[in-house]
Amino acid sequence: MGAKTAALDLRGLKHWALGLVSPVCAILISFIMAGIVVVFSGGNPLEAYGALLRGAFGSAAGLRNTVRYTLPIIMLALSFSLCDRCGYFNIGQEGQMFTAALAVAWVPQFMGGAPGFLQILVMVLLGALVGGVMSLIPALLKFLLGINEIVIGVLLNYIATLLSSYMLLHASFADPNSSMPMSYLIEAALPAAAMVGGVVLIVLVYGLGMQRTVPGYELRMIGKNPRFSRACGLPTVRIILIMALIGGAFSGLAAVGEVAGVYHKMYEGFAAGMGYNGMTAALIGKGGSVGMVFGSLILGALQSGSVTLSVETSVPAELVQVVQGFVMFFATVNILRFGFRRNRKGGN
Amino acid sequence: MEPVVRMVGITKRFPAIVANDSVDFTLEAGQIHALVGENGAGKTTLMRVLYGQYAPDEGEIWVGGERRSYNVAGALALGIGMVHQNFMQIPEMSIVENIILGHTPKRLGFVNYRQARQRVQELLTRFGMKNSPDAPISSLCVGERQKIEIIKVLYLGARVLILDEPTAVLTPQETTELFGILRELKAEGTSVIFISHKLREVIEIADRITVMRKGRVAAGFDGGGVDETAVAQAMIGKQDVQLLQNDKAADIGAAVLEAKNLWCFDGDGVPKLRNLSLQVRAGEILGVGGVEGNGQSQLIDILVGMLQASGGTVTLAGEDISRCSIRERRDRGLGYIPEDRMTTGLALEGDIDENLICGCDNRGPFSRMGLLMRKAIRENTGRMIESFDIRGVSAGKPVKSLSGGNMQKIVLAREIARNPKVLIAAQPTRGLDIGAINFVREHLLARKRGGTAILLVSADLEELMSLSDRLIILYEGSCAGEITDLGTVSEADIGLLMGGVTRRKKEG
Repeated sequence: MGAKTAALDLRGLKHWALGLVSPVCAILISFIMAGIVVVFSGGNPLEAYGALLRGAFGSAAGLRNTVRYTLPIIMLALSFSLCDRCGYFNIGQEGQMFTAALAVAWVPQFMGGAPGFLQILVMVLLGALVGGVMSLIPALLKFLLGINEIVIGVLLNYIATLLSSYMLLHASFADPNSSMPMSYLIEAALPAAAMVGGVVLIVLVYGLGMQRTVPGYELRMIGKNPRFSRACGLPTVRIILIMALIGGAFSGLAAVGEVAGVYHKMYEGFAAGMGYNGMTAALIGKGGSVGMVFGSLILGALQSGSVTLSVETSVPAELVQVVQGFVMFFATVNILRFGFRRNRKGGN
Repeated sequence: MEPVVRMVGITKRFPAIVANDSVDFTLEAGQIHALVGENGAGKTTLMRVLYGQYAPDEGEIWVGGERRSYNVAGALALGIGMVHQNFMQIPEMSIVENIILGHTPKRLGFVNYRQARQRVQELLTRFGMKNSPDAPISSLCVGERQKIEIIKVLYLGARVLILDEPTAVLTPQETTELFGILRELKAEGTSVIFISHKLREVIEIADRITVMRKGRVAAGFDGGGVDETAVAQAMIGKQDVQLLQNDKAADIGAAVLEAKNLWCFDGDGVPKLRNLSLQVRAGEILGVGGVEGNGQSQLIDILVGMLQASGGTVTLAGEDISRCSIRERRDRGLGYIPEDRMTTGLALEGDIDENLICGCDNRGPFSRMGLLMRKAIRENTGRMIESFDIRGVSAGKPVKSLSGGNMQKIVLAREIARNPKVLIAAQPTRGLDIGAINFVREHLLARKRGGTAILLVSADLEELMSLSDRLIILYEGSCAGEITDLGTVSEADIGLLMGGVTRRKKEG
């Protein structure tokens, strides 16, 4: 590759900055709307947001917590956006997480004596594989038989959630002495540095791969016009299925991080609602890796700051969910395009 | 006498283009008024303004002596009805249900079918249609479906009938029949506006011809003995523009693309191709004609690999490719100019780089070991822009902002630069202006001279006759006839074949 020229860098920078306008607007509007809700319920929005900000970024512990919440959202956002480009609406992320987590919880049962790093390695691989297969099921049904993937995905979520509840009571890894359904403590722990490093690496590979590699190009073209891509000879179905597999693997990895890196056990409902966070972050980023990381950071910070919010102010922690709801709502609107949209061209 | 419709100084702007630029248009009672012009001249836009679909940015519309502004419902109330190019019908519903849709006569809150059926029956009889009002639309052929559209507009009480390219889907015989109906309507005092770009028809039927070019009125002629070339000149606006012709200098080699006994059934089990065989030889342009919907798109999709045939084989240079993927077919030298460049020929959201390399992106020089070679891709784009004279592109910008001609040049560049052995060109000049048409023709003829076997599918008879070395006409999925003596055959003969009357059958 030749040396980059300054002009090219500028163009890239402009593109990059423009890509942030829409998500920033969506988030600002959401905060304003949620602020109005706070005012009407008798609170002070500035005070509330101040508490959120302090909680998320004001201390080393808060910052650590913010990163901890942001990482899985990034993985889920990548998962959602990768599938979304193929026209596959991956609403089954929670199901993928629950099944992957079951696999992770099961690993110490059959290789308990093995060294920790080996167990972790198996957990990562197995979690990714199980998540990927779970995501492949609706994708196969959709692209080979034309069955709606949203229906299948939502139903699979129920199956996975209820299956994990059952397994956490009756499987070999279920802890019978705990007060709620959960697994035994997992002794092999995924180090935080590995999680941060892994996610950074995946984001970089994703961002560069999308722009610079043949699979990335083909995926982008399928996203822009699948019929055209097929007519040009791209193996569209194969690419789509591979992307569904990788997308599911990303959800699985998010679950591996949660179970083996944060909680050190799997408990009932640990991933409930996380799929929506990933989807929202992907919508904020509009498929761009920078925007998605930004969106994940905002959502992660909201979660991490919510404790401080409820401790320091009279505003309940549920405000965070109100903000999230608004963000999801406004992120679906492409504000940039909306602003400039006019009559479409008519004619023949 | 006061004209039925008077449009004064109509201007309609769209983001990229001024579609109508202070256009004046007058329609008299009982007049058949033809509106002609190339694609994109603003004919349809002007009529949509009259029909209330678009509000004009400037200008006045006077209907029956009063200044009006209205929407579609208002237009219908004023007696202005439009028959669109693409029929707006629900095939599963009956004739009478389609006609009364949105305007159901009611009695005590129930649909008064008896009254509706009676009125529809009257209209059907008047148009010489023997179909029952309860027959489903899907049982009708295209010509009949068009009559139903006209009946629908008359049922709503239209006194001004706008027909947008009504003859595009008709055989010459059906066109003659349509003209009979229009003359009858005219005798009853109904006014007709007739959009077309087929000059011969226009001169035959119109009392008045208005020519549009680039959003303006270029000329007006009174009907009866108008010189066709004068109208053509006004339409094109340039002197001495001749469409390129195939000189038919035969240097034709062996068969390269061969289809044998192709069968294709649609989802309902209706055969779309019936035992169709054809071959295209090196250096030959084989034209495929016929009324649209007689198996052309299935044939193309099967040859290209977008659709699996229900039976039969396709061979390319002697190798059976029936089971090959699209990529394998393309690697063996198949090029494809799709019928619809907006949905199949291009990714409109992609930039020119992305559109030019698609399908070749996985090999040198565009990529190496899975990494895109951006320098090589940009150089390729530069070369293509130069040799195909693509205008208006800027790096990194979606190609959707380009004109139709420049979009088609990108498709041509991608497909022709690969130097294909076989080129399948579906409606390659549809919707292009005359300069771009000639550009496309020039490249097709150059490929032919270079020895490429070209299959040209077109709805434009003139194009088929001037470019093909040999012509086959499809009717209901099989070959109604093959024409090798294109110099001597008349359009009327071809029209008979298009209508399913077999002239002679030769097995290729």
